[in-house]
Amino acid sequence: MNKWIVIAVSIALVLSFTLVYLLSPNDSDYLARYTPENYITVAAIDVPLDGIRELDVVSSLFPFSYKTVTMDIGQLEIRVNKNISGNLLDFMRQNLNTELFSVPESGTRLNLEISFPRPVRNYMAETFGIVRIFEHYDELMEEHAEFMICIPENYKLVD
Amino acid sequence: MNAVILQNLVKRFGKKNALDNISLELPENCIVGLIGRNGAGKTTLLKTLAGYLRPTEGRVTVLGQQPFDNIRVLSDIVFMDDERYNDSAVLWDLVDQAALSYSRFDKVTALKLLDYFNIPVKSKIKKLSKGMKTLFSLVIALLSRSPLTMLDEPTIGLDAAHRKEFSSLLLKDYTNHPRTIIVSSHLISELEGLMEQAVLIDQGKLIFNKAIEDVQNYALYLSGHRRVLEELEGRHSIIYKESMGEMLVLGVVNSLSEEELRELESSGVEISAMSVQDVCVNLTATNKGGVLDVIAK
Amino acid sequence: MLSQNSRLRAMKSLLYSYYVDFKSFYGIYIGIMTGLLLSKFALSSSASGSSSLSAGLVSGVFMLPIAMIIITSNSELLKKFSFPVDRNMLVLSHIILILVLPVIMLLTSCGFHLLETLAAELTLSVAENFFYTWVITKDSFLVGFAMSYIIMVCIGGITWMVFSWFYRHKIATSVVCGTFLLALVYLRDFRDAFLKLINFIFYSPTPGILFLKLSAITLISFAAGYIPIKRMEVK
Repeated sequence: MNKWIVIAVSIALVLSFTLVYLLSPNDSDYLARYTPENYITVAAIDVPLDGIRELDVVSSLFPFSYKTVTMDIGQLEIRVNKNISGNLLDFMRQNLNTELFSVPESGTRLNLEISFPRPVRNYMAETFGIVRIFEHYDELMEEHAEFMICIPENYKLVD
Repeated sequence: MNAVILQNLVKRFGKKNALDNISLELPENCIVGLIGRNGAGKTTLLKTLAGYLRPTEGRVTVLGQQPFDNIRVLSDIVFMDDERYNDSAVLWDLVDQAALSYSRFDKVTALKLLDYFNIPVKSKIKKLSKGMKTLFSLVIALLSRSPLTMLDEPTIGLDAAHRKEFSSLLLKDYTNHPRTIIVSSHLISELEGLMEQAVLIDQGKLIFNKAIEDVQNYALYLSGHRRVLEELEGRHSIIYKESMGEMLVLGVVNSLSEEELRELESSGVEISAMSVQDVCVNLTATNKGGVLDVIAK
Repeated sequence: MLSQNSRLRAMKSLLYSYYVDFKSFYGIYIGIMTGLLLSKFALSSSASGSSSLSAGLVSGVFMLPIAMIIITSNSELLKKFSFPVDRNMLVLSHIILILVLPVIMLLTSCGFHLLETLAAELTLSVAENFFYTWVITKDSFLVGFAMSYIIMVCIGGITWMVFSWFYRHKIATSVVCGTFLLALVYLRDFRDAFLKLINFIFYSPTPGILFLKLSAITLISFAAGYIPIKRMEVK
């Protein structure tokens, strides 16, 4: 038995645990990263502001996640979180394509399609997935989103 | 004091009696040969002594206590058979483990012996030949110097030279560190020079437990004319009989008086001692005739 | 005193043998984690997917029961009896394994998580289309670690208990397990009751309560698994 290897590995393991813990923010700091102020607009699209209307995000934003927020704005806006490591903001300003289609049969419904012409890779250093069985942590994790789609108040998002 | 005391020991597997009412005592500091045919119950007996098996009936006392699940006794016992170690285990680790397990284990000598036998300690068990595995197990078992050392078929896979070396090693180590050593083997002739006491079992039953000198004098072969020898059959216990025309060979339990022996010699009967091996074979014969009889039919 | 000394010697020796045995088990675990890390960063065009922390739990949940199935088998136990050991020690060493291996595996997953982050930082410096986010909070990390640990321990404990019985009483255990599975498949009421029980166990408002429930199940498993090993003969 090489005692010193065992001791070194044990120390490394304990250090790993401590480092992950120390590198992690507490819940309130984490939540503060995902408040609307932390998202910056990378695309704004003119949309009709009359009547009750529906919006459907028909494309997949994989590998990113997004949340939708209804707010008092005059355009449909795609915003990007500024706290993501790597220059996601500039990358999306240069590479984000958005297209809006109206669905003629409905008269009130719009389909939003978002795409990136260049391939992107996204890595999420996630916590243990098991914590999502608890409502509190599930909601906490759900707060994470690289994108925020802001829609005017007369729009309702189609599930 | 006795190292082993068995009182009416019965070990049953289902309906089969593997050990049937065995009572015996084995003294401390003695080499005991445990002899018997295949399936006689030797391994079951050793496993019961090693605390692997729980007696169905009767009492087993090893070094003053019952051995089943008793670490105080088990720490003073080593039991070597051919399924000892994990195939993926490295020999060096097993030597280390032996040193941790047995307070009397002589690691330095063990490593010297392994080197002598050209057994590479850094290799895994599965890389060793059958003979090397046996030698390795023997070295561990002997060098543990346990007060009760049990070796089950210790010479399996060993060539003649290694069997001889094993005998010398066992005797030398026993002389320097006396203890109770039970050796079970089919190769009775090789054990004969080692053992001080012989225990013969057959079909789970104890046939005898005797000093080796007593076994060596236990029976005689008488070879002569049928007319002369047939007279003996009623008077003495016959354990072997073979006819060849008018000639007869008898194996007789040695209860003959000096006078009877002289008379037989004068009648032309040849008298010779029955070897320990033949005593054991004859006492455990199945009464089914020989294997050649089966083919002849 | 003599007895204590023998016991200590035997226990040290037994734990040493398990340490030697489980070096290869740990090697396999490291191999799986390395494979996942490489596939995430070198082979896959996307580095998305579960992080090393969750992968550690999933690998552990599969590997630990396999280890328990192996260590409770007759042939493995026979090998442990090559050196002095009693049945209590054997059970104790198995419990130590069930309690310690998940910690080692989870701590290792933390190490891999850091390696992943390092790999992410390196990739970030060379690729402008690569992004990463740290989605861990102190609380979620500690709770996740504790929950992953107790789930692995619980699954390990239940598997150990089932196979401790199975290898000793193959027919009886097979009949009980077979009947249970058949009832689960064919009897709706039984299935509903079982699902309710599962729901009752896992529906816990707080991590602490779930931890306690799983700890209780683990303790019951240890107690139940002890019975056949304590009574077993080594064949």
